[in-house]
Amino acid sequence: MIACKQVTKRFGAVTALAPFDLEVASGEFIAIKGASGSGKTTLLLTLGGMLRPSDGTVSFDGEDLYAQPPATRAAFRANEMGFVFQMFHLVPYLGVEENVRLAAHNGAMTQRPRELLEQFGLGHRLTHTPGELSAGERQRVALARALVNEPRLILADEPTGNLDPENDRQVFKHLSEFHRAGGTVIVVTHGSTADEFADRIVNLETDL
Amino acid sequence: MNPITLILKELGHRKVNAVFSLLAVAIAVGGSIIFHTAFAGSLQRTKRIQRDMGQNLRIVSKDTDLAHFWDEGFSKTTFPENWVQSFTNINDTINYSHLSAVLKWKVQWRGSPAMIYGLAPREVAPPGRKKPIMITPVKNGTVLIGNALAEIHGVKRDETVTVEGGEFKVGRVLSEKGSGAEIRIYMHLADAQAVLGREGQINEIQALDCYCADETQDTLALLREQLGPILPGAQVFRMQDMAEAREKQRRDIERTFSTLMPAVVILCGVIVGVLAFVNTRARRQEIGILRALGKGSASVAALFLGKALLLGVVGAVCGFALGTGLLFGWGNEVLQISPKLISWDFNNLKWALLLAPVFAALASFIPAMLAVTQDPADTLRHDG
Repeated sequence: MIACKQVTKRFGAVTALAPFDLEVASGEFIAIKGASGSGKTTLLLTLGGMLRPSDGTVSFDGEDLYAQPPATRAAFRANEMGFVFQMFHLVPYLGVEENVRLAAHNGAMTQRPRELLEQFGLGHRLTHTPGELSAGERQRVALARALVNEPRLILADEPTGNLDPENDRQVFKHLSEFHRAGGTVIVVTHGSTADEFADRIVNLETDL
Repeated sequence: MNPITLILKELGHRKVNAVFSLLAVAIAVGGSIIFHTAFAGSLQRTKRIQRDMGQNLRIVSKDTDLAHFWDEGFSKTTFPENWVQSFTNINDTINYSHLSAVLKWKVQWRGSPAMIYGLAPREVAPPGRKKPIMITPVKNGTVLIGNALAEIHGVKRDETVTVEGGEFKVGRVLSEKGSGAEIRIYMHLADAQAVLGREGQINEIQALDCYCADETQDTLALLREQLGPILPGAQVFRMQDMAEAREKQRRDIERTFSTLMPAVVILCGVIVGVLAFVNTRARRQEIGILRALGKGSASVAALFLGKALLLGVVGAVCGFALGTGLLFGWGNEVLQISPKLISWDFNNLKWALLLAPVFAALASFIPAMLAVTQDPADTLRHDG
């Protein structure tokens, strides 16, 4: 489904991501591990079509992602992918449901945002703003937002880095449900919970 | 999600930024309305002063004995009254306006020297120069008497006086002018022609040179060049001191307002731009996440420019209310603007609604483009 070959990213003289190869099949659950500064987030953004690599190629369904114009990559992100970040990145002035609708295609017409939020136990928080939620709730909103367009691939960057063990487990359970339904998951983490859910673990330092 | 909803929610969230941006647009609009009205008021006052000063051009026959003209204040050489109409049949733009036919003659009245001053009741305007009348017309059968002359002879308003054999009612005794007007007897041109036995004749056309020449031009040379083809038998003199005072006053006002008004508008534009920039910085993560969600450049630009347009529209209405309100409160007292010029002029609102959103969008353009070109990965990579 998604593959990167000899992908490298340099910022000036600093190499953020050393040459890296990865191939992920459709329906796989991959956990990428590595110490801080090993380039996990850089890799994830590169896979998501948001950070052009300095060298190497990233392909999705056989098509070179960075050979596409920015608008095509944006459409690709909107249709095929969902992102989850460690810091949630919810829009602070929108309510929970609005944050999810922000990502939804034809969001105003569908019931899916609300269904997802109810499924994630946030039915009673629909109008609350992110500032009124706990960290675990915020991450579940972010997860609902990532899933709202029924993407084929979820890219999650340390999704449980700010959560307590209980919420950590709950987030991975939701990712696992998506995976069991046929979705592909690439999660960057340095926690151990992923070991239990992932099909494959890739270590960014040792697997170079 | 509807971009308008998003813009409104963001405005509500970052209230301080929104209020200051709105204030800057409103001040720009309100300031423009105040300056515009104050400028109109100043021009009106200037025109009034200039009108009181009178016309500054004297057109007389080429055969005039100039020594006599400058000594006695009138030309003994007359010419047909209809010469003045020549100014209406021209195609070129000329610098003459407010043309009026005059017959003036020095006489002895009740043993004192006096100047009969026959004024045509209407001014002649060259094509494209039709303006409100400057002269004060005198009714048939009445005279207006100079202050000194009236004092000397004890003449009062509504009295009947005889001037060169004709009987006239005194319409008014003029206020003290401290000039040749002290011994003038103003009357209708036809009355002057009748009592002086010069029917259909005048000896002077008075006019005002328009304020068209730039400072480097020799205005008098230009006026003489323009007069040649219109009235070959005439010559023109310019009351230089009067004309220069008029020009200086006008230029000073225009210079003041043409500097002040853009300065206020530019300053407000800079404030709106800086606030938009601050807003863009504060929304870096939001822009990053919108990009990650697959929103294109157009969507991001629409959020920022849409916000600017909305602030422009609301700022236009607030600025219109602010500017006009301030004019009503202090326009007359502080800026000495005639109350007739102060009103809820919805033309101002129309222009404000057209221009303020464009102004706000232009001021926010660079920050909006910064937002569009912002690398989302850069923000998201430095998570938190």
